[in-house]
Amino acid sequence: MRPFGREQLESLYFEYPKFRAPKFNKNKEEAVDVTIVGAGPIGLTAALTLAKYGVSSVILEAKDTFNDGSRAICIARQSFHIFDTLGVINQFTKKALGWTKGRSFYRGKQILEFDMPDSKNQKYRPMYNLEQQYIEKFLHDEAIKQPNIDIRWQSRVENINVHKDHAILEINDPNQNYKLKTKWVLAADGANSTIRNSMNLRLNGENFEGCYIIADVQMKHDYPTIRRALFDPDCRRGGTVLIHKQPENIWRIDYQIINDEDPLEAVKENIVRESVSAVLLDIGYTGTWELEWWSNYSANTLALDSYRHGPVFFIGDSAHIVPIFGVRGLNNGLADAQNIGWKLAFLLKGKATKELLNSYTTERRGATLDVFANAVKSTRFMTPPSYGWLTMRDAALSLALRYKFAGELANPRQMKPYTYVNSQLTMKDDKRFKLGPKPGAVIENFLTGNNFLSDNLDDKFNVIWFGKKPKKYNEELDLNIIYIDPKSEISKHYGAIDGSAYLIRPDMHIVGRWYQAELKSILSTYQKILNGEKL
Amino acid sequence: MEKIYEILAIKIDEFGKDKSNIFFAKLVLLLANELNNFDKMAAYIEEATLDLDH
Repeated sequence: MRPFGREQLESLYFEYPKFRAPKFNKNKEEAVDVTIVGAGPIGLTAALTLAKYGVSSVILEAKDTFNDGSRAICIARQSFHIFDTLGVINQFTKKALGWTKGRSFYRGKQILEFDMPDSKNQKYRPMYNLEQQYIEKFLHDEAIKQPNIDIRWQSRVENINVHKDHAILEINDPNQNYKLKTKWVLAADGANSTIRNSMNLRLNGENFEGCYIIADVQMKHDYPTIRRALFDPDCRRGGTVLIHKQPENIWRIDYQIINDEDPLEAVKENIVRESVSAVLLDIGYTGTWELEWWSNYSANTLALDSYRHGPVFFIGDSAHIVPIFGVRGLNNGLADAQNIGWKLAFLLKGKATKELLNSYTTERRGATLDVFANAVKSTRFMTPPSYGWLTMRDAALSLALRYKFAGELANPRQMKPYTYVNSQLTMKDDKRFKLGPKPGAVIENFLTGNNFLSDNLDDKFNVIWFGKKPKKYNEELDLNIIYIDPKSEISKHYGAIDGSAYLIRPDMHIVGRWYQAELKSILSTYQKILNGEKL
Repeated sequence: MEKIYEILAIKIDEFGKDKSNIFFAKLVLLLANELNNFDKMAAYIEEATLDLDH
């Protein structure tokens, strides 16, 4: 929503482009390999992932521009690595605000300051703030450079007919109605997914009671990029407020609608202005500000039972809806897009069998359930659902004024990449390793000279080989091998000796590790992955 | 123990029904932190749930 007198897309800092509908005339049924429904950040990431492997896709988007409002603003480190692989990272690092620190306050007094893990070995900061319009713009700017991405704006999917090995989409745009036959569908059409609804699939899970308003204001406020949480503040007794800095002097004020407030009244502009004004006074800001945009939401943990239905894969919010605390919605969706992107590309390029795709639900739904476990804890703290949770929360906050251990209960447990421990693509660990990241986890980055370990990875499967080039190594192998000095710091960090090796997927997750590796074992494991065999 | 018993009775009267629950919750968190033993603490919590109507 925008203030009175401004159009729906009339932003103080962002000019929304208007994209035209396709002009071509589709008189006959068209056939493509991959159709992505939704040109939001998740759909665009999927398309760019496919494109870098040379796989074409059609993106269908019902709207004529980017999503309205700043929406998902927190981008986790691992998502920056995804953007890095897509060739768009420079725009993100230039614009986004990196942050490492959060502060929590109870009735005006600070009870917690937490630092997210960061070090010189990390290429990116643990978290960045950036308005979603920019995320979409940067991805879109890259997508339109790709000859194998066909974005069709104002193209609404009206229906889907799913068959065993393909789907038929019925599409309506301002110029025509037509059918599109596609081997694979990636449904990235958000929380109210048309594809999901057309297929009569339901999200299952829990709805939480608390309702929040998210409001963006523009102001020159000199507080650093530190996420602030205000529990039971003077401006909102019994409620919780979150404050984030974004680029363009935009500040996200995110506040809970408290019990005696009417949720329908709370979204009205005059009430939003009053509430925001009270928050700003509470944090000591007395300067001028302008209301940019606002919206409301409630916390849910909902997911599909399976993320794959025949040729249709659900990615992002169409598959799962998570509470915003801990910033897991967008980041989880980006990981979905990358995951199905490389797997589908390997299949369509003839490298892998269809069985590889079976790992998608196991891995990404597993990640969602892990997100739920953490998000439920955060949500119960931010918005206690019952008397018992409220009593314990208030007791912890009251104690936190004097005891650090109690303040830790207010830690929002930010997003971490999920470890694919139960995946068919993850090996059992080699118990001889005493240190280092385990199979299923994302690699631990490391600075080696002027480069990070992650800079050496490429779109193929990668082998980190501790030692000299192995005998019988064939340069034509479809693996990227990174040689590391076994006496180096990184080798110690990885618990490796001369001859150890780690096999890494294109999404930076570790397949497995060998304390004393033989190239043929690694190749055999790689072949099993491509065949979709359980490791 | 008798002394603690008395102190708690006085505190409950002092805080009344409204604040006693928060008071007890804080007390339990403090003791749990001091005990630093999840199994023992969980067992004590279960013990405390017994015979609440008698």
